[in-house]
Amino acid sequence: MLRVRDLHARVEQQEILKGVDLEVKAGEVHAVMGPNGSGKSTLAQVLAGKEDYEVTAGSLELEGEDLQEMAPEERAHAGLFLAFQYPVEIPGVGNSYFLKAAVNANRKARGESELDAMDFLKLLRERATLVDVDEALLRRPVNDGFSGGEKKRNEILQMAVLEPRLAVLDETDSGLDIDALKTVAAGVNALRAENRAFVVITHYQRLLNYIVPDHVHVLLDGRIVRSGGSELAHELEEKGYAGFDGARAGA
Amino acid sequence: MTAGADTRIGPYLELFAGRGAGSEPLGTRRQQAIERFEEAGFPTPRDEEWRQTNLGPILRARPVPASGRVLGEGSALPFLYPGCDRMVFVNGRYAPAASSPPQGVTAFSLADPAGAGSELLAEHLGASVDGRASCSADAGVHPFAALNTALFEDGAAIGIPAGTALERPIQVLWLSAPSADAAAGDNGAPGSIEVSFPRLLVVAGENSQASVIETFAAADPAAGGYFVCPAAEFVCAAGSVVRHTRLQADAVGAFHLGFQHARLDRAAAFDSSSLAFGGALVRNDTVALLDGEGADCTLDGLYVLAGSQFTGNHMRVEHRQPHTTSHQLYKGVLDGQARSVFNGRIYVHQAAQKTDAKQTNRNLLLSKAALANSNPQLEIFADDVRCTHGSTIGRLDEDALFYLRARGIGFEEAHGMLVHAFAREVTDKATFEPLRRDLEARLFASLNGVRSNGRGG
Ligand SMILES: Nc1ncnc2c1ncn2[C@@H]1O[C@H](COP(=O)(O)OP(=O)(O)OP(=O)(O)O)[C@@H](O)[C@H]1O
Ligand SMILES: [Mg+2]
Repeated sequence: MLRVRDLHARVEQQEILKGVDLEVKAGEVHAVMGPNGSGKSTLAQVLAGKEDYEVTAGSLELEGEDLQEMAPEERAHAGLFLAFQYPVEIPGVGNSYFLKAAVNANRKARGESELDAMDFLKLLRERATLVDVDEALLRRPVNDGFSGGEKKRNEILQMAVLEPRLAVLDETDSGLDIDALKTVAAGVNALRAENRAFVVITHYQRLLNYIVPDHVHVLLDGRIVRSGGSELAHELEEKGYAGFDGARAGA
Repeated sequence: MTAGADTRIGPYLELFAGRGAGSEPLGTRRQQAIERFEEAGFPTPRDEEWRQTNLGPILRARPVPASGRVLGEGSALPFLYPGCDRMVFVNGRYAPAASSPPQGVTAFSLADPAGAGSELLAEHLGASVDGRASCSADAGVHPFAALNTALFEDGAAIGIPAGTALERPIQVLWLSAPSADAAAGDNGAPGSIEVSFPRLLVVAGENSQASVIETFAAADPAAGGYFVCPAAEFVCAAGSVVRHTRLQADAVGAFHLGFQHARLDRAAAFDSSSLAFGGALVRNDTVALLDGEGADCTLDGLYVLAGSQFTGNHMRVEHRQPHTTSHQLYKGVLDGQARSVFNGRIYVHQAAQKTDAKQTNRNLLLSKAALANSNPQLEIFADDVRCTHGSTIGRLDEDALFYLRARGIGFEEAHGMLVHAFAREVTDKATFEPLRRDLEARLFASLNGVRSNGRGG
């Protein structure tokens, strides 16, 4: 589904990603772990098409299509979803209005008929219940004044409503209390399907107790220095990143 | 400026000479007004208040009264809201067949001889310019307001009796339909220009309530080369509540120099929204005098500009009595090479203790070449007051734009959503549903670069 090859990316003349390789197949859950500043969010933002990051080498493909050729909205239409580490506050744009616009923009791009107000509301209520988002948050402006946890839940709600093929969750677990963490995990697990894949960026084993990954990758200084099964996450939890040497990276 | 030195005033003095001062009670006031205008002359770039307004394109052209042209009254229909009483003026002249004035109040056309004896006129018309209710001395004479008083041919006078609360808004439509000749005249060419002087007087009696919607529009949105020079006076008696909306949707090539003046007595409330979409060169000068204890005024505005449009908003709010409040919120959206000026003067007299004044001007620049100026001016002579002002000039939030696009919303739509989010703080205040919908439609139309002047078209 997702194939990242030898990806190099820089921001403001500084190279952040220094040759990332990652292959995600349909139905799989991959976890990406790594210390602060190692380039995890950069990878996520590059996938979503943020223009601040310049891809200097390598390739990005989603279902065989070159992501670099696509605008951010086209990537979304192709089934890519990024849950932001820092969701953006947008005063003046109502949350449910925004969600409806997003759902219908995607439907339109895929040649499906747009949902009317009634059908959308039905979908929204159902998914809001699934990820336990308070209806009051739907009436407020997008993320405006939301607590940290509310913002993360709102990301998961958007994912649940948009039903992407590939969801990249950038530290969706940080800042969540234990109940919220369970809800978010339940939301993800409810969406797990044969034709859908997840890349879960996290610092903590905690989330991976609920969303059990098929593969775990360690990103260090812009490279994936080790990959393994879910046991790798436990190892990291115990030993930290001290035993990994970025310079030895061969991937 | 010394009298007679300004050769640009000649054609306007000729217009006055051509029609004369006319009969009383207005004759004397018109005569006074033209004298004041002659004395003051047109502003020059050296006048602080006019420094940033380039009057050249207007003053180079020879003014011709627009009222010579009559237009089918159906041309007003696209601009009229359902559920309103209305007075329609085409090229400055009352169009009775298109109008349905409100009942139970005084409402007449200023050109109607039947109204000449009205107390409304005798007492209030022109008070804002002739010194009876004008600003503090340093404000001087407003040349275009004086010109309007001297030269208006028609207009609307509305008097709401004490204790009366009108349920329906009153819409006053000022429709311009310049002749093809004038429309062809290029902005810079010293051809002729059709000019009209719409005049509005609203007198709200004690404890009355009313909502007045003024709409300035062009029958042909592509028309250019006409000049609207309106003046509006609001007299708000004790305890009255007056809502005013001023929608300026003139043709993109039009010139519009407007003056509005409100005087508020004890515990009166004046709530005015100015929405500006049209015109090549536009100015709105607003004066609010808080002349009675507890008076409260709200002045909101939105200007949405593209191409090479210019719009200036010059505010003067005077707190003259204790416990008066004023709130100003003006927002601008500028694209292309558009320019705007916001000059916000708040003047707190020594007697006006416990004044609460707030002024905010926010500008959103959508292009590199757009330019917004914002100049707050606070003059405070009382010590126990709260006055705040803030102005910002910013660009669209790129992170928000990316966030929306990352959810599949296309660039254009995402852009529109963010601009709308910025502007709605002002447009949402329109509680009259047909008006609010019209404002939203105009906002989206101008964002799409489609300069639409007819509603929904
Ligand atoms: N827009 C930017 N301008 C300058 N430097 C940036 C920018 N974005 C990222 N960086 C730098 O790139 C490096 C990688 O940042 P990134 O956000 O990808 O790290 P991360 O692995 O997600 O860290 P964390 O775990 O703290 O979220 C950091 O050193 C960061 O300062
Ligand atoms: Mg990060």
